[in-house]
Amino acid sequence: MPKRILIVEDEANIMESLAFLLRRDGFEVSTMPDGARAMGEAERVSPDLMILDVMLPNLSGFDVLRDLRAHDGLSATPVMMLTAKGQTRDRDQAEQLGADLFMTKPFSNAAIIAEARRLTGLDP
Amino acid sequence: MPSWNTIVITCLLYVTLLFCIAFWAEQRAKRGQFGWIRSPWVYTLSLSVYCTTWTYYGAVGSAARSGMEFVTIYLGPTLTFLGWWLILRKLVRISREQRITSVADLLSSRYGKSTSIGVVVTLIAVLASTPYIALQLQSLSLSFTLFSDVGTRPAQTAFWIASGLAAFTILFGTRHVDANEQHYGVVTAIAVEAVVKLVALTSVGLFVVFGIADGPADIFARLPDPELLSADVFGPRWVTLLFLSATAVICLPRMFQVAVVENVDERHLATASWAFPFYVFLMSLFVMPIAIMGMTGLPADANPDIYVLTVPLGAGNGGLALLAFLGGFSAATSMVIVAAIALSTMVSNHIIMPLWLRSTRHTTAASGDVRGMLLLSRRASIIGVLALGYIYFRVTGGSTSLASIGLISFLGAAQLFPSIIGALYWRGATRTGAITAVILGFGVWAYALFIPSFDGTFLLSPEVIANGPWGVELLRPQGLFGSEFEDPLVHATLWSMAVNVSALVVVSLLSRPGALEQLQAKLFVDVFTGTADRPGMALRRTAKSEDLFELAQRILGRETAWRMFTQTARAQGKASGLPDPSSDLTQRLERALAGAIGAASAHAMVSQIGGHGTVSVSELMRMADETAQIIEYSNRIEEKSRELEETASQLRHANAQLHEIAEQKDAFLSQVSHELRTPMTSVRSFAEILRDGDDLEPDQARRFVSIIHEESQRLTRLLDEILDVSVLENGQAQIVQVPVSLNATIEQALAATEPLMRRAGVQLIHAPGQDITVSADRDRLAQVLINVLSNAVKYGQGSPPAIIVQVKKTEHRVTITIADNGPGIAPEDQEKVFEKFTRLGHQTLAGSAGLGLPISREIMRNLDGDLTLSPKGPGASFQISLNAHEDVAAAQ
Amino acid sequence: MSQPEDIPRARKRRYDGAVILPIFAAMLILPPFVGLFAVPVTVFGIPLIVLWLFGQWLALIAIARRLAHLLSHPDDE
Repeated sequence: MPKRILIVEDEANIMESLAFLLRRDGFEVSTMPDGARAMGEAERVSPDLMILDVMLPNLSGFDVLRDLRAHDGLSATPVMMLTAKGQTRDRDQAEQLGADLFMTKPFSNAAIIAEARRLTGLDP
Repeated sequence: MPSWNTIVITCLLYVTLLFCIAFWAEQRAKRGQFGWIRSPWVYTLSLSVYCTTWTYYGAVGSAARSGMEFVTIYLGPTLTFLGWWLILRKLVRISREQRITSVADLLSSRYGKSTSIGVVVTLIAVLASTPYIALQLQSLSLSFTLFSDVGTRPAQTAFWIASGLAAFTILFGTRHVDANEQHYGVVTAIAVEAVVKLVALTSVGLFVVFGIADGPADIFARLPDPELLSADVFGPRWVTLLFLSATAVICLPRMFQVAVVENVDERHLATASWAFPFYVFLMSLFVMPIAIMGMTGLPADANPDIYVLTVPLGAGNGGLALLAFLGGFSAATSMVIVAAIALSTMVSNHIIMPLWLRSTRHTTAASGDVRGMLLLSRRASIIGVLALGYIYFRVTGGSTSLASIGLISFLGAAQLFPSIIGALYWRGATRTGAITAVILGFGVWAYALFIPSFDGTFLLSPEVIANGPWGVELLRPQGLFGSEFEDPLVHATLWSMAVNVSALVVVSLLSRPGALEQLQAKLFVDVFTGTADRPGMALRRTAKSEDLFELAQRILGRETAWRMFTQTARAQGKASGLPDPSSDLTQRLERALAGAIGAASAHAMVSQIGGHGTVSVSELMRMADETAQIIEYSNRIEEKSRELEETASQLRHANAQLHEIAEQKDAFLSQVSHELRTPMTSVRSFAEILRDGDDLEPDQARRFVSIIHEESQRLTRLLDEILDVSVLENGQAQIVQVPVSLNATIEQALAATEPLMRRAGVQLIHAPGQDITVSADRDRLAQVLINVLSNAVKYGQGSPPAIIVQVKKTEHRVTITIADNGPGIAPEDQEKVFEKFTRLGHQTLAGSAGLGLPISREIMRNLDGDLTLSPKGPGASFQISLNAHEDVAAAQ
Repeated sequence: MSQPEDIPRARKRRYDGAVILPIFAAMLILPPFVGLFAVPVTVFGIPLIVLWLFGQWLALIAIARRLAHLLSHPDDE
């Protein structure tokens, strides 16, 4: 059974590239452009990995992450955070909230794939 | 030989010259043009009051009698000045900080502002100085008599000299009761006299060595008795003389006056440290040759003490003798003037004023009275000191005992030395210790040296001097406890110093210092440790309001004090009368006083009134009056510091602004980085997909390429906008204002946004009216309209979406309103939309970097217009206002 | 050319010099040093003791001058 990944990203073009890449690598991908609705979507699909943008409309990526970690069934979901800011303050906050990985945009496709495989347990 | 008239006229001319110089210097100082009046050279030269007639004439006499011994009188001060770093520097610093006015004030201040020690030291100083002043009068009248062909009476001459000196001293010594007791006029005149002394003595010396004799070798070949240069002189007396002359530079009232009180700059000490020794070096260089010439070239009965005059006279050089006479005249007058100033300050501050204040204890004396009284008492003291000197001269009338009075005077003053050193270096030295030491030392001095110097004509009979009182050998004045010294001076020095130092140490160790004493001790001893934390003194809040008010009034002035006390009373809820002596009042008062007199003194004063100390209230009032003198000075300082404070606050403000700008810049850069990274992410990701994916379908590949294209366009726009913002904000944009048809510009903007509106299905409501000519840059105005229209399309989104464009013209202004029927903008976000990179509700539409509205507003402001958001709903309604063209023309 | 951390030490040396100079001077002008040359010898016709007294005096003045300069210009070499 393919691993499921939920991508929460408001930039349509970035979302499209991520979805394309991950699908091509055999993942099952769901997408969500809105922070406020991200948790509902996560409950629905119970992903093996969540890729989470920081700057989201309505609810920030950090808030989504906090909700996720507080959620009974989903708190163990691995999370890869994406940001275009890349300041250490954001990185610290992400780590503190329990993100598994913090990636800075622009990213390398190969790195995204490799990390997605690692975080879903496909690769060591 | 110069005639009597020549001498008198020369003297008068010389005195007139000194008057002019003193007056001139005083005037310059008053105008603040100090120039060389405050130079280290004037300071160094003024120190030459050390060289009185006793040294000017007497050194040659001493050389004729005792060979090289005279050198000690000059080597002692050399030693003190070589060691300036140790003692003088500290004295000067302390005196500046504590506003010390005399050596009595120094000791009184250090030992807990003690009146008693001030009185004792003053009395001793006057007692020890009077014979010395008399000696100057004697030398002067002696030298006058030498030139007189008519029978002048020395007493009469001395009287006129004393009167003249009193007039000069009063004129320049008490012109004002200045806080710092500095007398520029007197100091400058004395510096001039110093030069005259040096030139005169050197001229006589050069004349002797090269005019009469044939160079130095010839002079020393004439040495009548080789024993004069034998090693016998380097005995106990040599050491004693060195010690006495070294301490005299500090302890003699007149030396303390010029070296410490009149010092205007601590750095002058550095120069004087070598220049003053060099001065006395030059003064002593020709002493021996003149003495040798006197001994060999003049009759055997000639008085060696006036060789300086008689040697040139004997050689027939009347002009040179006149110059030598002027040198001696200078030596005497400068000594008397400075001594009179120093002593009168002491007498007036430590004896007359306390007595007067005590007598007027219960009458509320205003500050002005105190000042007037202070001046009067100074003047009276000057006259008193000179009168004493004159009377002493008349009574002892040219007795030979005056010859040794210089050294007797030195030893008298040296009794202050242990207490001064204790004041500077030993925190444990107490008032009781110092008083005991000074009194006992002085007693020994009087008993063992001063009184016996009258050879049995005063107080002690010759029998007592020879055999001791009641025949008790052990108490023989010049052989105490059976000690045998050849020289009474050595004997008296040893005994008085031993008693003095032991008393200081033992009594200090046995007695307890008061609170104020401890405070002052710390301030004195730790003067170089900078802002050493001042010992806190518990303040008892028992001060009486009346006392506090009187203190405040004397220092702050009646009005300020009254205002402060009324305010406090009102704050305490009292409608009238003085406030209760609460801790709030004492604290306020202390702060206010500290502004005028420094924190330590203010604290000391207030806590003294608070009943914590031992000093009486009237004593404090005296302190208050002394400090009142420095208020003017303080005010000047305060003004300076206010200016500095202002500058500092401006700097702080500028710094804060810079800080803010830097933060804004950082935030801006961070945002720019974010905005650039977003399109870059898509570009890079799709570029990598295209690079690595051989199995892409052509349609897919084409779509990815078009995304890359779209995102790179977005990047370009973004960069353009950033540049635009930067150019507009720096005011570098070239925006012209020309007559522009508004209708045409609106049409242009609508045409540009038409495809966008069509795609969003927006209904445009716009009825072009009569064309208006506005003053604007057409392209920029169109850019603003396009930005606002695109914004309305993006964020309006009513159902169905509609945009209204209206133009209104008032007399001078044209307003274009662009409104949509969307959800509108929340009131808290209305200013935010004009901030850079703001995107409300995180809605992102391709092509917007959040810079459109800030740029538009900036453009409108550059066009003397504005872009605002109308608070009226329901949708967002932007208003673009600008000048109509006619008005601009009319205005020009 | 001294290293920055040497400057306080150089200054300290000057302070020490300012303290030692008067002690050194006192030693010179007190017996027995002062009477060292009280012998009936003349140099160019001037008694040796006179030259000794005035010579050391002048030397002390020169040293004091140099020291005063150093103390009032603390950052000079």
